[in-house]
Amino acid sequence: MSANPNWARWIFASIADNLNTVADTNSIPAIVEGVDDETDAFTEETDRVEIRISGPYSRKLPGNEYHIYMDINVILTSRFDGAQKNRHAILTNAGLFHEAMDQAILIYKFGDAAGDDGSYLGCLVPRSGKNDTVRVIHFGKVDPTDKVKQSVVDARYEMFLTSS
Amino acid sequence: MYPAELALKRTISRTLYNMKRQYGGSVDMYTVTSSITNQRSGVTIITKDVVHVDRVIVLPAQMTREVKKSISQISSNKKFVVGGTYDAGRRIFIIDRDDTPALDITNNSYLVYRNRKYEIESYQEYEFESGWIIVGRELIGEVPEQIYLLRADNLLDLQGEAADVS
Repeated sequence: MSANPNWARWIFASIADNLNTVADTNSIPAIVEGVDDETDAFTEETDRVEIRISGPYSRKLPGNEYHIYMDINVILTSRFDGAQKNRHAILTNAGLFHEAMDQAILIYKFGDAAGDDGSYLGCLVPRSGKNDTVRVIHFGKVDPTDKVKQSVVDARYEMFLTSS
Repeated sequence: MYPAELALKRTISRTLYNMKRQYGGSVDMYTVTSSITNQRSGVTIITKDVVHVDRVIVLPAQMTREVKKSISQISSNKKFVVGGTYDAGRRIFIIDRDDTPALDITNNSYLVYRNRKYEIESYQEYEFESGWIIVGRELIGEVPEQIYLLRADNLLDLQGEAADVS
């Protein structure tokens, strides 16, 4: 029995939905890279995030079980915007995603194809290996002239699924 | 100054004058004199000076979508291959120094043209201190935080009264 062809979509959609909800709840403009368009309104926002999802990487285990790995990074972009703006804005946003990505993400069968009933599929948890920390990386000002700073919140996840 | 230099300076001045007539616009040139951020609160206090220049040669803008990838980004996160883009524009301004003898440009200066802020990417001086060529970088959506010089005027009605002079 091989991997379920819907896993990639279900996992992607569930992660995107989860992190989009974090952004919406905190009024942070967000797009999911490769899914959402970068509108003018989005690129003109002083603080914004882009959610990138890679995976699944799968390893077949005995029986019909699969070990699934996912990588997620959230890229935060923030303009300096003079004295009216708090310089900790990007840190505040990074902290919100750090908190969210340090938790399990529930995976549902989202979609509108046959078999996409929104039911629970499994639970994606942060990997616990030595090099699998949830990391907040600050790149600071990315250009000598453009007053834009960027950070990324990076996390790696795993879950076990059974192919039927 | 040698006669040949005088002639060249006159030619530059005449060219600048003609370009100002064709491409002229007014800009405010800001110089940040101090910027202090409270590390506990993140609140920043910025002080700046502004010089208004009435006639500046403003050339057309070029808009691009930028993505910067420094070696630190690439090495720290190999999955981060795209994303993190932002829109920016580049525009050339030419200032006649005769218009603004008091103006001094530094890399911490920026200018505002039509309520859009342009950071100075580079600048160069014309020969004989006749002008500046400034390459400005605009971040789309950036707040210019302008200083508006207060002005007041009053139009007086002219009234005339003929006096009978005999």
